[in-house]
Amino acid sequence: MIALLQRKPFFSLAFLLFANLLLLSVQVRNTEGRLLLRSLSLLLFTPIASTVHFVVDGVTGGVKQYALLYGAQKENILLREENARLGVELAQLRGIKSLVSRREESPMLEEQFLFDTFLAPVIWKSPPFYAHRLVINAGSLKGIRKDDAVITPQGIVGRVWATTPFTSEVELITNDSAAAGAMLEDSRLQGVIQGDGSLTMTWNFIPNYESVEVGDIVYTSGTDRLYPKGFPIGKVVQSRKGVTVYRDIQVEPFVDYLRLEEIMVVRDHSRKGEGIE
Amino acid sequence: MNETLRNSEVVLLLAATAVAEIVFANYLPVALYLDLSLVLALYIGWNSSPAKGAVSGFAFGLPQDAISGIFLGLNGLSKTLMGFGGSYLSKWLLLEGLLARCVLIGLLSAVDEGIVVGMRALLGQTIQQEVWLRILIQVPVTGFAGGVIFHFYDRIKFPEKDFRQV
Repeated sequence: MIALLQRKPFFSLAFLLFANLLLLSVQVRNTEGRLLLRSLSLLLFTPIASTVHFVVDGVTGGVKQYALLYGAQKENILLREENARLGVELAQLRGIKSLVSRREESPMLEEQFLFDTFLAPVIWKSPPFYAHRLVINAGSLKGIRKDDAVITPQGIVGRVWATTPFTSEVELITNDSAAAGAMLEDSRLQGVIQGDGSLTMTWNFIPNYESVEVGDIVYTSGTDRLYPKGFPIGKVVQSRKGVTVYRDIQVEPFVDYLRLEEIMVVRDHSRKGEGIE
Repeated sequence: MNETLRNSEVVLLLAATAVAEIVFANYLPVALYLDLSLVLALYIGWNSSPAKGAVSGFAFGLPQDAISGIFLGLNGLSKTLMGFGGSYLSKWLLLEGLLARCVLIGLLSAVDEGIVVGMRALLGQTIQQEVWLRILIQVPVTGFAGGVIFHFYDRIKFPEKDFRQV
């Protein structure tokens, strides 16, 4: 080993420099509170992920658009119908918003329900047995900050864990120790949804005497000041009396994290906006 | 490369430097203008292989970080580079004169401090104005003292031979 180091001096230099950087990284955290090494690895790795995503997207897009026109017309018709329906719904909501804006509690309601979002593609997903994280192709230069909520129209996805100028790492709500305030729509029963590293989540702090049925839909309560209020999380797939004072409830998320291709980042929860950018 | 410094010698020098820096830090702060770790890392690199120079620099830099109270690895990184670079410089430059050595060591001291300050800035630390004044004093002091240390240590390691007997 020593003879090898003597023959390859640059190898020993690289090794020692890396050792120094490693030593620094376990002491230094960046402004987001992330370890330096973790931030550097994200900065170094994500250009590769972006390039792979760009190439794969370009090839599959070209194949879909030009080679596989099968079903294009049918999909076009369905999209037109959905667009028309959404247009009508939007007009109705604008009318409701106009009515609500004349009420006293309008500023509070606007703060809770109106927010600005940014659409970003997913360029990398971590293997689920390690950590439930993914990387999106938008970073601090697009106004994304740590702890910004990440959603899709189907439901919440997670929160921004770390950012670089061009990319962001998102922690999924199913990740171990990830959590969100959650409630039932009808009864307004509130608790805390917590991920445990599996594909379902645990809904904590619901007393045994409360009624929660399988199939009930769970929404964000807004109490965590992270996720917008009233966004769907998932549905209850198991509800039974727990051994403690709380029920044992498992919730299956609506979002299929393994097939996510695009997400929306809630950039500023307090800003007014028309919804999707 | 002619290995003129044994490993045991390097370890002794390392221990002596650490003790000296602790003594200077507690009782004679003005002596800290002499970057002893740099001078010795350079000397070992100058008279050894690049790998040994790099390892010595690493070993000399870490205690300096610990004693200074800054992030471990800052001086470790800069001294690693200095020890490594010193070995290659010894191949390219034949400096026997005291003045030439003083100038070179002073320049390398400036580079070394530049690396440390640059790393601290990259890590988001505030660099006080006094740092620049300290560097302004440290560079000539280290250069001069380093040249003298090089000169006297060479006298110990390479005593003049009587070639009349050849």
